[in-house]
Amino acid sequence: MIASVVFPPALIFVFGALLTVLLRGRAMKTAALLVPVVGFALLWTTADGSYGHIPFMGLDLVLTRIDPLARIFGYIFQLITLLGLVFSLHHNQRSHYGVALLYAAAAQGVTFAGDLFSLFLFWEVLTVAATFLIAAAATERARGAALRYLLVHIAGGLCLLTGILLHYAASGSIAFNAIDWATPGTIFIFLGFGLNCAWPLLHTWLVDAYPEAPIAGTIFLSAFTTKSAVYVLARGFAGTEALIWVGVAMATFPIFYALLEDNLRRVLSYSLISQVGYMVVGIGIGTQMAINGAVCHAYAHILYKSLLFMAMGAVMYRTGSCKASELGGLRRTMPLTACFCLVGSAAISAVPLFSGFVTKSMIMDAVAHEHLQIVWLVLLAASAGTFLYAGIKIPYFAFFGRDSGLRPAEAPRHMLLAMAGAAFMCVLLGVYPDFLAGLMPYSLPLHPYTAAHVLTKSQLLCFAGLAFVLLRWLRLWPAVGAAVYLDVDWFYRRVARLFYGLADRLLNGINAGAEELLLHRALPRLVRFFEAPGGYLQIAGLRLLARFGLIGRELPRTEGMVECRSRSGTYPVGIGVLLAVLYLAVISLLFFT
Amino acid sequence: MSQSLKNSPSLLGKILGGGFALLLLALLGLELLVHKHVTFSMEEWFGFYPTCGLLAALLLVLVANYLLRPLVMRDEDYYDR
Repeated sequence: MIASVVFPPALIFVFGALLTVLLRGRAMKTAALLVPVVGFALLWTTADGSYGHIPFMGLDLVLTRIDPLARIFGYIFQLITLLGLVFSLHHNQRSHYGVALLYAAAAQGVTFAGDLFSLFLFWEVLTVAATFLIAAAATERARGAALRYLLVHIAGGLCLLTGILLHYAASGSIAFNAIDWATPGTIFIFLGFGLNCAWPLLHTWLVDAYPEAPIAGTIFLSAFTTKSAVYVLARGFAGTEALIWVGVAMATFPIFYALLEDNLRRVLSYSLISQVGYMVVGIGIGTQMAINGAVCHAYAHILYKSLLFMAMGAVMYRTGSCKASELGGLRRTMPLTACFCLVGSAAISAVPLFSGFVTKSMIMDAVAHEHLQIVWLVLLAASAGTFLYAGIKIPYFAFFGRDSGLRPAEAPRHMLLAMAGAAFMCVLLGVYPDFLAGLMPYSLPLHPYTAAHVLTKSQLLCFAGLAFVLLRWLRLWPAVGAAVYLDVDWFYRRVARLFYGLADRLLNGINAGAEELLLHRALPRLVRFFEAPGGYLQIAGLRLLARFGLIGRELPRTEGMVECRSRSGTYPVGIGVLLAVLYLAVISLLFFT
Repeated sequence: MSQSLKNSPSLLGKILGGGFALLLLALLGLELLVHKHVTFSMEEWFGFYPTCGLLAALLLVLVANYLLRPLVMRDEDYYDR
């Protein structure tokens, strides 16, 4: 279908969201499930190109720009919307479907935006929809996390807006293509994208909020915000060398937290950052090979990460907990969920025949191709770490290991169906890499299955597994137990609270002092003074004179007289005349000088 | 057979452990047979990938457990207080 105007995919999702809000029950769920299918059909039948330029205040807005890079992200976002909706069929609230589809609409909008202004619009919708998805858990913790999420992302959004405005003022164009570092404002755009990408130090909103969200909401959260940031970085900043080092830091530091954390959904959140780190390294290298690797890894990552979040979500749905210290041995009654979790674990750990093996090796090959030895070594070590926390820790502590005594029922059928779909894709991408080769932005040969590659990767993983056995045997593995592991959000959750406390004491102290001084002390005195101002003034004057010895014994008698006169208001005529003359004198002085 | 395995976890553990040890040895042995296409010279060293996997995993866990954990671990209600 070649048309000059194509209905923007984002608007299909927006209409879908509106439709679900109008419907109820089965009709609502069916309508919601149809939205990504219709979106997919539209994208599938539309050729690459820019459609529907909208002139707006002298700007050229492009809502639909389809090219191979946007297309692959469009497909995966549609697929995960469908799987996430199937997983969430136990929800009967209309708001859940509406918000989820709006969130998906924003991800589609960011992916297909051809200009920075419409990109910014959808970027903000992402934030708002995600905030509602998190807060939907309706717990005190979730509300707090949602509020922090909103504040952090509004700051990031404003940073992005600043960048876009500066960029537009300097270049006169709002087209969204590779962004030139020479234009001012680029750094703000870079940081705005980076915040959504969960760069180190800007990452804590993710590990703070995702584990608190409802189990179905987390599926959408884990897919859209960070991966749309990966997409915009791949389009705007491919080949920016700083990204290599940002990516290396992202890939490594979350591993330490993921190894310690007790809450398995938080382990997955840290792991999400680590995996996105690989993509950011690929974008930083910026060669065709590396961009292919980053994009394909994003595609595979969305599937296996949501599969793992679904498995943990199913466990939480049945047991009410996803803490390693409270789980164990669930394979007895949740065997299918355990199997799907193992598929996700194998995929994220890059076990041969699973998706991660194909896509992670594309990035590793791109790194090796550029002879970045340190980067390569660190990422290799991070792969071993990934296997420890995601390949072993998650399935082991949830489904195997010690018997927790919990005997929950198997996950509901719709959850199993969603997990089966995601697991199928993880295996498909692993055994049939040509599926991905057909979607990659640059067509390059893809040969992941060489004997040497399979062997070396297997060696790496199995010996990392040996390390796990040794550490458990020597009792050196971190003990599991409920705890908080401080991260950078300590600065805004604790230091900011300290600042708040200080400001509270200082400003409210001034307030309280002023109240005491003016209201409780000064006011009663003034009231008393104005009962008889003339009398008090005269008495004060008399006492002053007495102090200098000008009046002596007659003071008490004079005071008595003054008081009596001022109370009865009977001043001698002379004093009245004197005051009138004084008043006229002051007025004439003011008037004539 | 399966019943007796279920009743004696130590036997199952021994079988699994033995199988795992054999797998590790087989993976090391295969390295002699498979030609590696190397980019970095260190990849040619015998046992480079196994050593890397083992050491990296040990190092990551030990650093996490003995350096990071004492620094950042707090009570569960730390932020709620």
